[in-house]
Amino acid sequence: MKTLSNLQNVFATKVNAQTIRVIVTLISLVLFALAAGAPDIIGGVGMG
Amino acid sequence: MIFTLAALVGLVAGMIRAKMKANTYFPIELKYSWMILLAFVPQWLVFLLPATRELVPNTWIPFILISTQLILLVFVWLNRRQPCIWLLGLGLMFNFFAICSNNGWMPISPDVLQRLQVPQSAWQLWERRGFSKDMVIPVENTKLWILSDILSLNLYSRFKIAFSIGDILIAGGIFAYFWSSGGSKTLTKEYQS
Repeated sequence: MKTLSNLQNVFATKVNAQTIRVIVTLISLVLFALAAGAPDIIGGVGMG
Repeated sequence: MIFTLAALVGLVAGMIRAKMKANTYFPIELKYSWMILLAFVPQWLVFLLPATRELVPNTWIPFILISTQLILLVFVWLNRRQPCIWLLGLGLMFNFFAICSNNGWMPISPDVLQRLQVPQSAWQLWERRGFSKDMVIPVENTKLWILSDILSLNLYSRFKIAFSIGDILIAGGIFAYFWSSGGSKTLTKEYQS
């Protein structure tokens, strides 16, 4: 039972680490593109 | 919006790729990510946030644009060993060269605006276009014209976009970064440990 609980914890930690890494990378690269790119959007929302 | 789309499509493609290779999808870590925030925040205040963008004089824009893009160039150099960062860096450099050689503004020609059917009342020659990074400059006065906003996409009447070759490389670089994260066995091992 204890082992199962440990396994669950390990799984939860890994899932969280994966989700966090995905979100952080996604936000980082989108912000990079917004600052590095220079498209002119006419009639849309945002700068890129 | 186009960059967010490139990131999301790349993320989904990378995840599918990881699944097909029986890997766990784990994006490659970017070092010094805080530098992106350092470059983005001033631009957000100047180009996006309505409360502040109206207060910033146009004479400040070239300094803000060039200095923040320099921060990004340093970020790219520090992450140069990461996959596909060279593509993001190349796109950034193309835009940076176009902006630096045109007094700190990304040039957009009247031809491109006409192609996008932007009413003439919405722009003026040698003036900034709205709150964008673009300045309306005739083609004959544009330096490094090929790197300026020469491409256009007229998706529907209320959404039109002018963009540069550098922008395409940046969008491609984001896609490739997420895609390549889905194919690395070593990353899976790193994640599992």
